[in-house]
Order: sequence, then structure tokens, then C-alpha cells
Amino acid sequence: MTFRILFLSFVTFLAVWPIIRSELPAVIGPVWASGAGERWSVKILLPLLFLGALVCAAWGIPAESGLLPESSSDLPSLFVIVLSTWVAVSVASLISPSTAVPFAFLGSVAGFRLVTEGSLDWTLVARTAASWLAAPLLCSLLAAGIVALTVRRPGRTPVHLVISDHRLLLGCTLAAFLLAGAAAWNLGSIVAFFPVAAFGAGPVAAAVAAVPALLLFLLARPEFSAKTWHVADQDLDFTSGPVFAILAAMGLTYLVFSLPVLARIGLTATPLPAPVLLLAALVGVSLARRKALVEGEKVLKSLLSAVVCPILGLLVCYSLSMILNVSADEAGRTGWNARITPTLVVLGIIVIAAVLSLYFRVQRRRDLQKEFFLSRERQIYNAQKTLSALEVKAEMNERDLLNKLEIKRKELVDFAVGVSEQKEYMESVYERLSRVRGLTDPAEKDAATDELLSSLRERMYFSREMNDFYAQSEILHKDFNMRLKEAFPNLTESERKLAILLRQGFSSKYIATLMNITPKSAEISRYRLRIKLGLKRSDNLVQFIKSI
Amino acid sequence: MKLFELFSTKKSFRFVESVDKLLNVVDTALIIFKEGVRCYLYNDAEGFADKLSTMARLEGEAGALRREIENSLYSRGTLIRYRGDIMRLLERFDHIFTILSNDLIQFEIEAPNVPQELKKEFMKLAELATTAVETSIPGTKAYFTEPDKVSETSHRVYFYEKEAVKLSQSIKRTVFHDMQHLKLSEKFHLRYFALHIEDLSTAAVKVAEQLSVMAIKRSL
Repeated sequence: MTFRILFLSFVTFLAVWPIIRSELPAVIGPVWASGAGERWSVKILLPLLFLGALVCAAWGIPAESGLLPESSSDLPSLFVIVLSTWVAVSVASLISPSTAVPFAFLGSVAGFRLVTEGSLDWTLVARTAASWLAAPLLCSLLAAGIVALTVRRPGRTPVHLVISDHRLLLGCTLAAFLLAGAAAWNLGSIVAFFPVAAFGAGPVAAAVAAVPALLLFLLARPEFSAKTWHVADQDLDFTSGPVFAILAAMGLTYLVFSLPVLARIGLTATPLPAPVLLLAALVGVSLARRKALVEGEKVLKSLLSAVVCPILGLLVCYSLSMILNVSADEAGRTGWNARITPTLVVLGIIVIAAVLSLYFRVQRRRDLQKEFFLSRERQIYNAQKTLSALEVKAEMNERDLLNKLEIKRKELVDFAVGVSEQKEYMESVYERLSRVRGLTDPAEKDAATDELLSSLRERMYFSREMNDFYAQSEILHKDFNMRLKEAFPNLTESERKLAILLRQGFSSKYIATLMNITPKSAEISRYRLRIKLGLKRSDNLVQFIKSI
Repeated sequence: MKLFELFSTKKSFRFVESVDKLLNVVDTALIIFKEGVRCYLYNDAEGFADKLSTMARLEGEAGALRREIENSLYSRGTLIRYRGDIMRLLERFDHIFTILSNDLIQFEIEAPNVPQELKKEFMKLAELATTAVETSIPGTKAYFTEPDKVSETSHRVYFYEKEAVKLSQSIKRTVFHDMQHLKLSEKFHLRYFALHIEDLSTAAVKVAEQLSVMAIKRSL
């Protein structure tokens, strides 16, 4: 018994999942979009009405209605139908997210009946198919009609926005209750098919079946909320008038297609998919307002999905039933224990396939995440690298600027010292010349003049300035000096000085002046330097020095 | 039970009343502003003080009405698609109130020296700016009842705003080019006041723009 209850829970899980994902958001979305769901009273009453109507309809609906046969306690058969529905909906959702779960379910039931009963009531199938076509058409026409009726015509007394919105809110609330009740009644025939009461334990089994459904709902709540908000905020992002038309049209369509009276006009009461009705209502509103509120491609895809759902359900259920050997004779003769083994085998295969699929999906997601993190890390690394390079550059620039500042400061100090020295020297020359002029003895006068001349010559060599010049060059070309010493350690001090002067672009004539040698000597020094640097005749000395 | 409140239109009518009252208060405030400027320019100190106190009272009234409307908008389930826009519109009117009140207070505190030959121009500027705001009030009322007529009033607001800007520029030009006897500080002072009165028409344009967007949204 426990095993049966667990199995029933699993079947409920399979059955409720597509309804939560696909059907409910299309019913609740318009209610949220209308603002009717903002009131706590509506928030509480609406689900109560839905569940109540569902239970009442499940009990009240005749055991055999339309394509649905009388419910049986044959759990493996139920499992096959629900599984086929699940597969059909999953495949159809690849075409469009607006799938038709009731169509897939009825398709699966038809497939199952084809195997167990050997044939189908094709008139009933045709009537059901006609109802499936008629329902969206009716919903569309109703929505268009309501919009046309509620549109304000010129000449009519203008109504204040607050009053008209209040009326629309009232209308939307009533329409929401109508939709909830009618949808529950319409879908009740599917619930009636589930043989919950036939499991001996009665309410216990029902509770066991309801608990996983409730747990599943809580589990899928974030996705359900996101989908419902998507419907309310994206698909129905317009004023209350069209939303009211959609709610009312959907509710009325559900109501009409739950009535047995339809048989009189060649149709049949049948469960309807909410997403398809929602799209049909949107098309109706678009036609009435002559403004596309829904993309044509989306409608076409949804239509295709609605066509694929029952066909796929039928094919999958038929094939599965054949695999599980659920023939007309077998179904009657073989018992639970005989039929549960192949069912468990199929179930095992499905579980393994599902686990594998989940594993690969998780793995793929992990890989993608890893790739994403890697790319982010790479980006961060590159950014850090650029930042470091910039920091280094800034540091170097700062150091360079500080060096230049130091040089300038020294220049200024030297200039000041130089000026004062020059002044002192000039004063001393003036005094000495005055003294020379005052001498009477020619020999003494000549000696004093010679002394003065030699002092002047010494001054002309400007040794101090030259030393300063080299010191500053040392600071400016510190790196160059180091590189030169490393590359050519055998160079003498004067040769290094010559290299620095050449690097700064001085000609031989200037170099001779600066080094206090003759131009000829400067040329010779250049020649020696070339030899020491190992240059050929064709090599340019200045360019080579600059390249160090 | 709160569900049955849905069938009662009492609160909706109260909301309509509050909106109408607020718009009437704005209208009255515009008249008071005009009168206040006139009193200041033509040295009616008593009248000016009276207008100043009336403006403060009207500002308080408008604030209370705005809060009431805001409360009503968010506590009831109505106007879910419009409440954000309506609140933004009310904020724009609140801004207009701030300008009106601040301008009068600044006249009182700073007491600008308006030359005799410019008094008429300043009065005209105040009239043009207030007319721009006045014209946006029927537009606001039209939004609630006949949104198609909003665009009809919007172009009037733009017209008065342009006229106000032109006049303000003319005043500034006269002050800076033709009135050499004024000190630079006095010139700046006059320009500052012209600019503040001109701001009123700019605020009216913002209301008109907001209304245009809201009217388009209502047609969706």
C-alpha cells in the first residue's frame, strides 16, 4: 500500500509540474495585471474559490466525460498517461512556452484508449478537435466584442479616470472570480480522472497525493511567480480596459466549454489550455483596437505547439502502452504485480535519463560559470596589469620630474654662486689693475701684469663650471652611464665623458672647447673611442652611443 | 468586509474632489502670486504682506491635499497603471507651488530695486508665466476625463512659455545694455528675479510634457 501511495505521489508530481509551469501563470497573470489581486480579500478568496470549484467539479462531473474514460485504480496506466503528457508538453515547450497541457493530456488519453480498447470513437475525437478550434476563436471574438463595447465613443458624457478605473476594477474582480471558478470547473474533469479515492485509504491517499502537489507548488513558487509577473508586466502591459476584456473573455470561454449543452451544436465540453486562451484573447483585443498587442510569430508558435501537444501525447502514450503491453485483454487479466515490473523498468530508464540530463545540464552550467569566472578573472588581471603599468609610469614620471626639479634648483644655486664669484673676481681684477697702474717700476709692472694674465687664463679654463656640467650630465644620464659601464668596462673616465657629450649631440669643435683640448685631439679621442667600442668603419658612432 | 468596499464609489468621488480641489488651489495661488508681484512693484506693502501669508496658507493646503491623494492612490487598489504618473504630475505641481512661494518670499527678503520703466515689463512677465501654468490646469483636468484633448492645451502652454522667455530676455537685455545708471549688483539682482519668474513657465512646460506622455499611455 505504501508503495502504491508513493507511486501515486510520483504520478501527482509529474501531473502537477506542467500545470504550475504553464497553466497557472496564464490564469493568475491577467488577475495580477488588472490590479484585482492587490486586495487581501481577493488574494485569499480567489485561490479558495479555485480549489473549491476544482474539488466540486471533480466530484460532480460524471465518471466518463468526453475523451476521458471512467477513472480506474490502475496506477501504471495512469502513470503512462501522465508521463506521455509530460513528454509531449516538454517537447512542445521547445516550440513555444505557451503550451497546451490539457490537449497533451487528452491526446495521451486517446493514445491509451486506442491501445486498451482497440479503437477510438472518431466522432468524439472530431468533436473534441472542433471544440479545441472553436474555443480560442470564441475567446478572441468575446475579447474583441467586450473591447468594442467598453470603448468610449465621441458624444458620450466623459467619465472621470478614477470612476472609470474603479468600475473597471470592479469588473476585473468579478471577471477574475468568474475566470477562477470557470477554469477550475473546466479542468475539474481532468482531476476527476485521477483515481485518488479508489486507493482504499480514501482521504489519507488523497492527502498523500495532495502533499507532494503542495510541496511541488512551494518548490516551483519562484519560477511560478516570475512567469506570472512576466505575463502581468510584459504580455499585458496596458490599461485596465483590455485586461478586463481578456479576463472576461477567458472566463466566459471556460464556462461555455464546460457546459454539456455544447453537444447540441456538435461540439463537446473539454478542458482548455489557459495560455492558448490568453493569446486568443490578446489577438481579439488587437483586432478590436487595430493595434498589434502580441507578435504574430508568438501566436503562430503557440498554435503549432497546441497542435503538436495532443499528437505527441497520443503517439508517446500509444508507444509506451505497447511497450508496457497494456492491450485490451492484458489490461483486464494481468494484475498489479505482473504489470508493475515493466512499468518500473520504464520508470527506471526515465529516472536514469532524467538524472543524466540533469547532470549534463548542471555540468554545462558549471562549465559556463567557470568560463565566465575565468573571463572575469582575465579581465581583472588585465585591468590590474594596466593599472600597475600606469602606476609605474606615473612613478617614473614623478621621479623624472623630481630629478629635473633638483637639477633646476642646483642650476639656480650655481648661477647665484657663479654671479657672486664673478663679482668677487671682477672686483679683485679691478683692484689688481688699479694697483698695477699705480706701480712706477716697469719690471714690477710687467710682473704684476703677467700675474694678472695668468690668473685670467686660469679663469678661462672654467674648470669648476665644467665639473658642474659633468656632474649634472651624470645625474641626467645616470642610466646611460650605468649601461655604458656595464657594456664597456674598459673605457676611461675621459672617454666616458666624451661618450656623454656625443650622446647630447655636441660637435667635435664644441667638445674640444668643453674638454679643454684642441679639435685635433678631440678627433683622435673619437677615433680611440670607436676602436674601444668595437665599431666598424661603416658604423655611426653617435647613433651607436644613443642606442646603448 | 473590505471586498464590498469595491462596490462603493464614495472613495472614488472623494479622490476626484481632492484632485479638483488641488487644481483649484493651484489656480488661486497663481492669482495670489500675480497680485503679490503687483503689490510689490507698485509699493503696496500691506497688500504684499497679505498675499504672502495667503500663499503660505495655500501651500499648506496643497501639501495636505497632495498627501491625501497620495495616500488614497496607494491604499486603494485603483489606478495601478497610472499612479506613478499621477504622483509625478502632483510633484510637478508641488514644484510650481515651491517656485510661487519662494519668489514672493525672495521679493520680501531681498527687496530688489526695480526701475520704474521695468515695472510694467516685470508685471507682464509674471502674467505670462502664470498664464502658462493656468493653461496647464485644463490640460490636467482633460487628462482625467478626455485624454484626447490634452494635446490641445499643451501647445498653448508652449506658446506662453516662449513668450515669457522672450520677455525675460528682453528685460535682461534692457537691464544690461540700456541701464548704465544701475550698479552691476543691481543688474544681477534684476536678472535673478526675471530668471525666477521665468522658471515658473518652464515648470508649466514640464507639466505639459508629463501630461502628453500620460495621455499617450492612456491610449495604450
